[in-house]
Amino acid sequence: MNAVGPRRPPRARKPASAQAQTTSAVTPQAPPGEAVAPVLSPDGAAQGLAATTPTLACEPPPGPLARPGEFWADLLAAAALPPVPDGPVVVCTAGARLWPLVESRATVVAVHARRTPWTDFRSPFGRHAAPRERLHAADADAVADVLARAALVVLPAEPWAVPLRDAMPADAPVLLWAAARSADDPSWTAWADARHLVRLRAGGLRLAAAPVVGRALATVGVTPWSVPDDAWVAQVLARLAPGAAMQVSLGAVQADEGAAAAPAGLRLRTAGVQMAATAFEALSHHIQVDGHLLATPQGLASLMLPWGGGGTLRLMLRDAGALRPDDPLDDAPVQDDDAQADPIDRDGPPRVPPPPVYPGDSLHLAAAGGRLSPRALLRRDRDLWVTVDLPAFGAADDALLHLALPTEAVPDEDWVRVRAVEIRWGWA
Amino acid sequence: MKPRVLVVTFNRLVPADQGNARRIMQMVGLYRARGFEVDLLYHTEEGQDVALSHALRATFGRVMMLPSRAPKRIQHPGHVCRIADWYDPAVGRAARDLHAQRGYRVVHVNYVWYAPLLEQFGDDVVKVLDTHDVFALRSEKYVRAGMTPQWFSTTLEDEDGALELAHAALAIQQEEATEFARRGHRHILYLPYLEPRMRPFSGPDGSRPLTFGYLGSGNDWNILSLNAYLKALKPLGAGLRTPLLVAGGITRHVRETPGVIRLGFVKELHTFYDAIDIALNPMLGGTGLKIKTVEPLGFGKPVLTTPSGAQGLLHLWELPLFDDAAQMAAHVAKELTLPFDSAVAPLVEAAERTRDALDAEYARQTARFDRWLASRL
Repeated sequence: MNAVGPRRPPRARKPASAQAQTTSAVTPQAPPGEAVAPVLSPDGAAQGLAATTPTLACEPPPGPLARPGEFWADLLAAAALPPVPDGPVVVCTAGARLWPLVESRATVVAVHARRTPWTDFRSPFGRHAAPRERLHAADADAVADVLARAALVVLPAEPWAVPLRDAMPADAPVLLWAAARSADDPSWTAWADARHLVRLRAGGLRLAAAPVVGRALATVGVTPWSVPDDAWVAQVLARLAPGAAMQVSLGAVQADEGAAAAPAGLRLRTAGVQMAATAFEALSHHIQVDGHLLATPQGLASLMLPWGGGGTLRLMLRDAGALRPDDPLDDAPVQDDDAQADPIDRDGPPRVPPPPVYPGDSLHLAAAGGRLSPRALLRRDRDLWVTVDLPAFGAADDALLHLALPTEAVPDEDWVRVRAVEIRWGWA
Repeated sequence: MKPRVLVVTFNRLVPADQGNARRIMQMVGLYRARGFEVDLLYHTEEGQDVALSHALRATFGRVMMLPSRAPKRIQHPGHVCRIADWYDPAVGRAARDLHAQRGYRVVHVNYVWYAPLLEQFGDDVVKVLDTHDVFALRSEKYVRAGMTPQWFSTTLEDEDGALELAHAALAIQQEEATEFARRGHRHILYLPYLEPRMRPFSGPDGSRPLTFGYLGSGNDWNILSLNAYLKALKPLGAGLRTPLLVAGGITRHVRETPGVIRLGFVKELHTFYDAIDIALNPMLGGTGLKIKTVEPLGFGKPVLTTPSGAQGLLHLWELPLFDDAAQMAAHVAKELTLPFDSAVAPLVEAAERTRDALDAEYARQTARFDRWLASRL
C-alpha cells in the first residue's frame, strides 16, 4: 500500500533560459516556447473534469496514501450504499477530513472526536456551496438523532468512538473498521459478536458489517472469502465517478520516459470549492455565494483534505495577480525535484541556481503543524499552479492545508479563486 | 434534542422590513416558542451579503442559500403564471439534502409556487404551506382597478393542486381561508398576522399639530392609493394644519406637496410611530393582508382606512371605515383639525378595542394551529 512508483532518474539541469522549452518538450500538445499545458485544464475544471485527458508531463511520483484504512473504509461504504439511500451516511472519524467517495453517493454527516472550529464546504448542486455537517461526538442528542436516521454508519474501532457505538440502535446499518494489524480490542470484538456482524477483510482492514450492510457488500463482490484487487477498486471507482463532484480514479499516474510500465496510482480531481475550508465568517459567506474555494484579499486560503493526507496535491489559482514584466515566475515556470537534485547543468556553462519563484519566503504552505515547501510552481497567463507533497495527519487532527499567497499574487482588494484541485497518491 | 423545522423562503428576512418577511419571522418565532430549532433554506431572490449571512446564521440553526434559476414565465394574454414555471427544482433537491442531514419534523414553505418542494418529503414530515395571499386569478384584481397585473397570478387549477400538497395551508386572512374552503379545501388554517404591542394607546398631548402618518412600500397599489388621497386632500387645504409623514419605499413616488413630509426609509418603526398621532391607509384595492393597517395598532396609534385596507380584519374592526380616499380626505380635513381632543380620543379608544379583539383572535388561532401541529407530531 505504501509503496511508491519508481522515481524518475534525475535529469541534467538546463540553463534558466531554456527551462520553458524543457517543460514544453515533455508535453506533446504544447508548441515549443509556449508554457506547459497544465495537468488539469481550466476547461476541465469548469466542467467537472469529466472530459479532461490526463497529461502526465512533469509529474513527480505521487506520495503514498497516508491513511489507507480511511480510503478503504470510504470505498467500501460507498460501494455498500443503495442507489438512493434512505438517510444520511454517518462517517465517524476522530479528526475532520473528507471522504469523497461516500459523499459522491449520499448526504454525509460527519461525527468527530472533538469540535472543529473550521467550516468546510461542498457544492452538491453545482451552484452555491453549503457547509458540511460536522457534529461533535459529545453532542449526544444530535448524534443519537443522526445515528437513528442513518442509512449507513461507518465507525472506526477506536476508543473515542465507544460512546457512538453504544448510542447506536440495535439494528443500525453499521460498517465497523479497524486496521488489520491492530490488536483485537475485546470490547469491540464482543460488541460485533453480540450484533452478529459479518466479518470481512479488505484493503488491509478488518471489517465487521451489519447483516444488511454485509449483504450489500456481497452484491458488489466483497465477501468473507474475497480479496478485492485493483481491478475491483477501479471498477467501483468508475461506477462512482459519473457525475460526482469529486472524481477519484485508479490508474497510471505517471508515464516516465523509457519506463516499461506506468506505476499505478490513485487520483482525485475536483473543483476547489469541494475542499474549501475557513474559520472566518466573512470568507465563509463569500465561499458560499461565489461557489469557489477563495483566498482572501490577504492571500489566505485553507483546504480540507481527504483520508488524512499524503499524496501530492496540485491546485490552480485563478487570477492570482496580474502578470508583470519582472514577475519572477516568468523565468521559473517549474521548480521540481530535479531542480533540487541537480541544480547545475553539467553539460552547459556553470550557472547560478534559479531565483526563488517568489522573492523571500512569501508563499507559505502549512499543514499538520509544519511548514511545507512547494514542489513546483507554475504560472500560466493569470493562473498560478502550486504542487506540494502533503504530510500525513494524525487520526485526531483536522486534515487541513493552509495557504498564504504572496501579496504580489493577490489582485488588488479582490479574492483569488482556487479553481481546480488534484491529488495523486502512489498505489501498491 | 429540539425538533427541527425547515423554513423555505425567497424573502430577505433580516431586516424584516417588508410585510411578507415579517409574517415569515412571525412564524419563525411561533415555531421557536414551541421548542423547535428553525433552519432556513433561502432562495436568494432578495440579495445576499455578508451582513445578511451573519444575521441569518445568528437567527437560524442552519442556513443554506441557493440562487433561484426558475424561468418564471408569464403567459400572455391574461398574465398567467404556471407553478411549474415558477418552481425551481434545485430548491427541492437542496431541501431533501438538508433533510437527510438534519431530519426535520416540519417543513414550512412560503408562497404557493414553492409547494412542489413538499413532494420531497414523506408523510412523516409535517408539511405546512403559508399562502400569504390568494394567487389564483389575482391578475383580475389589477385589471378591475385599471392597473397592469404584477408579479404572480395563477390558475385555480394550479393553486388548488399546490394546496393539496400540504398537510395544512395557512391563510393570513379569514376571507382567504373562507375562499379556499369554498373551493373544497379542508386543510386550511386561518392564522392572522400580529406583532407584539410595542406602545400603550394614548392620545396626542397637544405639543405638536395633529400629525398623520403613512408607512408603506412603493408597490402599485400603495402609490395609487396615497396619490388618490393627496389629490383629494389638496383642494381641502388641510395639509398644512395637519402634516402627513410619509415613510418607506412609497416616499420616492410621492410628489413634493405642502404638508407632506417625506422621510424615506426608517430604521426603527417606533421612531416613525412615535412621531405621528393617526396612521392612514387609504387603500383602494390590492391583495393579501395589509400589514400597515395592523402595524400602527402595535404602536398605540389609531388607523383610518377603507374596507380594502381592513380586508381580513373587518369582523374585528371598530375604527371608522371610509368608502374611498376622497371620503377619508374629507373627514380628515373637516373633523380632525385643531382643537382635536374630542375627535381623536374616540379613535384611540376604538383602536385599543380593535387591538384587544385582534389579540384575542390571534390567541385563538395560534392555539388552533398548536393543536393541529401537536396532533401531527
